[in-house]
Amino acid sequence: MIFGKHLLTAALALVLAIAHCLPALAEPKIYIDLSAPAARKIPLAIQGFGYIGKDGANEPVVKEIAKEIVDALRSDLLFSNLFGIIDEKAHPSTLQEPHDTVADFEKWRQAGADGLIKGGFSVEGGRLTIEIRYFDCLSEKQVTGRRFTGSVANARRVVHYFSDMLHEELTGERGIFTTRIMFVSPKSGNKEVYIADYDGKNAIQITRNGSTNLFPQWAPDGKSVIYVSYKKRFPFLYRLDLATGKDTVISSRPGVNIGARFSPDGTKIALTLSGPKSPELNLLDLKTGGYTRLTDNYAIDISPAWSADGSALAFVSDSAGNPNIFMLNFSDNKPKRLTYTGAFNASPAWSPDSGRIAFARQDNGRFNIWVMDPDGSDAAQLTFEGNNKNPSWSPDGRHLIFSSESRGQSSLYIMRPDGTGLTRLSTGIGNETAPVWSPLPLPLQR
Amino acid sequence: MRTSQTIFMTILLAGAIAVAGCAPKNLKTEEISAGTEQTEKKTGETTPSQGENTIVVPDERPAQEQTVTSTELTPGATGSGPSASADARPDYASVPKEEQLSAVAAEKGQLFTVYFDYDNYSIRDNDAENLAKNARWLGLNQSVKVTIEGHADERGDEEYNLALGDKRAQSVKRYLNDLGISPARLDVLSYGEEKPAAIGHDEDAWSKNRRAEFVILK
Repeated sequence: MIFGKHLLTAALALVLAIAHCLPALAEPKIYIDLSAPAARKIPLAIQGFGYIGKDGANEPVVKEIAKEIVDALRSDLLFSNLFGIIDEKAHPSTLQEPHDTVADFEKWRQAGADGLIKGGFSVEGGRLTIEIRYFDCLSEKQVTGRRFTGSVANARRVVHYFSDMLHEELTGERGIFTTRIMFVSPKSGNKEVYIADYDGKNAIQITRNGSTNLFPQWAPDGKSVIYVSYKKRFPFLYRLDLATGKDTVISSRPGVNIGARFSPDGTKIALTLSGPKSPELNLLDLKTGGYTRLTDNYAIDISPAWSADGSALAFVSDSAGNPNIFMLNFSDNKPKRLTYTGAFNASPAWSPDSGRIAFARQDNGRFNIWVMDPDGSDAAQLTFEGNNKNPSWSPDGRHLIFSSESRGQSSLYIMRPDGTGLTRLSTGIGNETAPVWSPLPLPLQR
Repeated sequence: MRTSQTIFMTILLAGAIAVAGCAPKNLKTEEISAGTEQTEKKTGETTPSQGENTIVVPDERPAQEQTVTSTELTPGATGSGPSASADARPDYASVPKEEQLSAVAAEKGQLFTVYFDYDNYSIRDNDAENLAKNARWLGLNQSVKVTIEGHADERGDEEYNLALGDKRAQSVKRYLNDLGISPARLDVLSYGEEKPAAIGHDEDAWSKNRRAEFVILK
């Protein structure tokens, strides 16, 4: 066992050494292959962040920020599932260690660290500057290092940008640590829409109209959101621009204007409107304001989910008696049934690479989260306790968030698409439902 | 009070700006800056959907379960004007012409709530009589407009339940229309599972929540 570990370490060291010796051949530098099954976690040490500014080292806020930086790094890196974090007690004495170089890699290796993060920060005029570096203790090289300047009010956010970059540096794939989660909570006395960071922190309320607000969804660019509100008595669809706060009604047909989802290119919205026979799926062209009816039957057609290329919608219909998932391909417009079991199948969500569809299925009075292939095959149940609904994928497709209800209280949970890594997301708001994961925000310019 | 509200709105807007995640050169864009209030336009929005189908909704909430006392009841009258189509529909001559309205309905203007089976939107035989009474009362009170509110129990999916509530309310609207009540007098509004009549997590509560209620508008 120990031998095996050393062998792996040696193998990794060799790979890293080669990568460094042959920079021309090593692009893109992939330290961690995300597609490899059960890849070994990199043992990582995070050295405490010290104050590196000229003045202000004794400000009370300094201690708090130092703690916040390390906390955010820890939670980001643990969430990535790529790292195991070494207890600070096992660190070598860092008295001689500067914040920007490593004096003695051997000591860190003896502490078990293959990777080391260290850095420092300063505060000046409400601006927080953080320097963060990642060192590979095996090759004794700095892998990446950045200086960030941001608001002193949100050190965590600054760290999330570093985590994104580190993730990309090590895996070739951008991290999702700057993404956000939108959800509904009745905390204020009525259902309003909230947005929090992906880790549940910094939750803010974005609707405040005292009415009932439901089913928020992100625009593909993440800059605006759509939601259903009763603020003008009927369930109309609204769009809220997150940068300007401008709020406009975008669908106000008689009856319901619900189940709205943006097309991947952001030019259309699929939604359910009351029809002469029954609630039907429609396409709203945002440029012309025109509607195209997609279904025409006596069944309830609801909850459209776009494929990544915009060529098809998975949706829920009770046309077969009970609610099942169907697929509507725009090439033939003939709904094809995907699910044949389960008393109630709801809320399909297509993975970002279109490989899988997550949905909620109820059999014995409680919903659970399932995934299946887009043709309905290979269905697998992922949750087994509670009443779990509304799955939503992270933009990298490596996580699902959903709401879970127990004894009348709902909360949010995140897991990997194989059902492992189940973690409760604490937002501090409470009774959260209808979570939706944001797209990736625009990257910082390098 | 006013100051604190302004500060509050500023924070809200700053948060919204931060959330917008426009992150070009560096994190400086995340700086909290003061700005104008987050506003919701109250009227006159120009939207793609605004057209002949746009419903203009008054700002104030509709009166709930308002009693109508000024209307004279004329026994035997089944309505007049555009909605007097009951006679043209002999198949639905189920409004008992001779029967008196129930004392409650006549005096207080009560309209009966209709209940549904689980995940179902068809009118049950039990409710046909009450709907006939509702139709009769509406026939006698031509000036009254009502909203039919469709509801679902807490089981099932929220989004689906909102569609189910719509379908239930539309069923009731069609039924009343077949009994001669003009659709122009019948608004439909679905609340899905958002406004339960009974709190509880058992069939007793659920059966009370799967319903279509009538709210009288002036």
